[in-house]
Amino acid sequence: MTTAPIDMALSELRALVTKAARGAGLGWGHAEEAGWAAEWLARHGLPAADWATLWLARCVAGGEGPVTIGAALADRLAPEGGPLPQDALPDYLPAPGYLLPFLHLIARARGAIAIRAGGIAVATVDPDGGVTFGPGWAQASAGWSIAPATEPPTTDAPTTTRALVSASVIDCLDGLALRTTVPPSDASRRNAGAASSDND
Amino acid sequence: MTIAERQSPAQDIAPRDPDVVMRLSRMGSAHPMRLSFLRVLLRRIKSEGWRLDRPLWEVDARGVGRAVYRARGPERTYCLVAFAHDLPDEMRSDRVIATAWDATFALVEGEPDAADLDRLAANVPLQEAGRISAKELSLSRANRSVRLFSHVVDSLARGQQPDRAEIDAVGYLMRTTAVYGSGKFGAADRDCIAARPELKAPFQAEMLSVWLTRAFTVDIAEHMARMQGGAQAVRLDRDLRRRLGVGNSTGLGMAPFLVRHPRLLNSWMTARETALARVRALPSADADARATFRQALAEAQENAALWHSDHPAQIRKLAHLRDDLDLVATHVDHVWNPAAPRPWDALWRWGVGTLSEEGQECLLALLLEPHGAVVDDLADTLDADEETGFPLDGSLPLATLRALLARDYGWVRAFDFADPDRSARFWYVSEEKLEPRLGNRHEEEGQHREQPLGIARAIAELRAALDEFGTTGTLAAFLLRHPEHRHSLRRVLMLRGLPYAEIRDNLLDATLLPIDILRCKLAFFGATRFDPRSDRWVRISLFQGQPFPDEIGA
Repeated sequence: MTTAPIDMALSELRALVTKAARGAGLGWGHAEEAGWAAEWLARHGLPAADWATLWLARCVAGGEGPVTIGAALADRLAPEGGPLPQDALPDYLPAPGYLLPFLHLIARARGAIAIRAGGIAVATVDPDGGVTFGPGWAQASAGWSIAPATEPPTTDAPTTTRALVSASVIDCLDGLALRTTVPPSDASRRNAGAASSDND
Repeated sequence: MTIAERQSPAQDIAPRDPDVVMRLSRMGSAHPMRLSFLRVLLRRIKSEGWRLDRPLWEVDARGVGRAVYRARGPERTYCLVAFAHDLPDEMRSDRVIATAWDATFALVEGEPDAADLDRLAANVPLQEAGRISAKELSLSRANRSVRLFSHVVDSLARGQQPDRAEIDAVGYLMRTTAVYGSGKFGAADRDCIAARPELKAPFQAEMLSVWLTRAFTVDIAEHMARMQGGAQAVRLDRDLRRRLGVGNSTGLGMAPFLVRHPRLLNSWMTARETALARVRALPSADADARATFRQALAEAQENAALWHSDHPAQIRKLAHLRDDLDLVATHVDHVWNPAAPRPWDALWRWGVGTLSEEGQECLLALLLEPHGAVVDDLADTLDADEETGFPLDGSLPLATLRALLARDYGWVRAFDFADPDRSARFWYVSEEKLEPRLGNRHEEEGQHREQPLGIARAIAELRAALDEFGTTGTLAAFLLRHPEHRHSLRRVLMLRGLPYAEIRDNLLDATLLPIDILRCKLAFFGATRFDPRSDRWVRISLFQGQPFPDEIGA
């Protein structure tokens, strides 16, 4: 039996991915960028929550995900542009779509940027935030690099204001988010509420 | 008064120093004032001639059913959908651990149809366990004050009015606990509605929800009285009704908000402090303004007399407040010279030199009261763009960063974090109820899952890392070696030039009173009768003394 997807507000999705990223081991700074990137992607109608489960699983296992890589690139290149490093991306990278929000920051300074797989452009982001996917996007899984885009993208500006997310994906992210919480103790229960009855 | 006249006087009286304003003891003495959010809402509803009615009332003899309260503004309509429940006493709890309430509510965009009502009936009574949609702007619940609700219903059923002293002792028939908005549990995102004039100021949807809830609390009591007393029952006297607000019961869940929304906090504080500076700069005090001030002072004295708390800290503050208001009255009546230049500034400076923090903050609220023409436009500045500056500027020279830290975070040096008492607490989220809590670092488990709310300590650690890193280079280079400071660095850069964005105190301190944070936020809501039930749990009243919907527009 399948259940209907959950209709989420984008701020709700952002908060969930932020907590899940923190639970997966990212620092608070990168975790809030994960949430920001999730909202950016969802606003473009892209499956931000589904992709998050892919790369956060790798982070739990100690690997690096697209948010730390994308953030480091944007730190360096978004303010003033500069050449794109050829070795910016590892050969294997889960959920490379999470690079797009950070590449958008860079594209604003230096023009459209493509994500390539095996030397072929599979996704392009332009300075206005428009995203175009090539036919190889769905099959691409390795050999990643970034390069200046050679063709102008043609997609419309983002308009989506809600995200439909499957219950199983939310469960997965909730599970990671739970790793930011502290189990109950007598002291925590004792200190949490009023010192008097609410039945007055 | 022209805009130029309104704005020019403040130019040579500076707003107060953030080192004074942003300390917890002073924030914990904040009073509601003209720019508080519920006052902003009511002014708009009145000035725009909103039409308010109750198109649906389907409640049975046990007090179970549903109702709809409608608010029609110039461009849009909003409806509060209320569900009334029959709650056994043993299930009544204001804490987030509760699973049932006396009443549950959602504020809906437009007018709900039958399908909407059925959808909401299946979800709203579940609160956190249900889902609402982009059509809804808030989700909330309320519990009865058992004693006062019974007294009012029994009295009205017998054909008598309830005892005024009983009403004043409690102040509300029901108290809300959480009022969720801004995307929570599927509600509409803030940025989808923030461009509407009526929702631009903070928490306007939530305030509208609570105001309409107040009408429901009286309606359900009168309904129960009719069911109980039949033809003998009477309606609640309108003057007595005005004395009822909506209670609110809240705890630590509200406290992190002001730390997590520093740009918003800066907007609120800047608006209030600008308002004070404008009033202080006025060249004269005309008779109308003096009379309004004197009336507001009398009301504040009455409020202070009726304001009850059993919490030792609040008892002390209330004693100070009552004494201070008497001093203000004596000074204004016998000493203050309203004909002198800048009379309001003279009164303010006398207050700063004479009154406690509690009295000073109350005087601030009183000074704004007669001066709507001078300060009310500042309601348009209470909101904030909280995304500006989110991407980090990696090209920033570290020398510039150091200068920023020296200018904006010099206050951090007051705290010696080598002393265990300065980091005695830690903020965390409970696994059990997903609510913020405050632990004792040296006694409890869990600090490895600490929430990033100890700003002062984080900045001290950032400064130490910068000292160790060296004086040259860029932010990007520093971040490559110190990603753990990314969160603090974004905060420092996003808050550049915002004087009131940070609480200039130590939120990890052994002496921290979380109720100080709560009071500041609640005062901006417009809350009165701040009554701590512990160091981290408080009850307040909203809309007490304010008009009901049928008094403003029908």
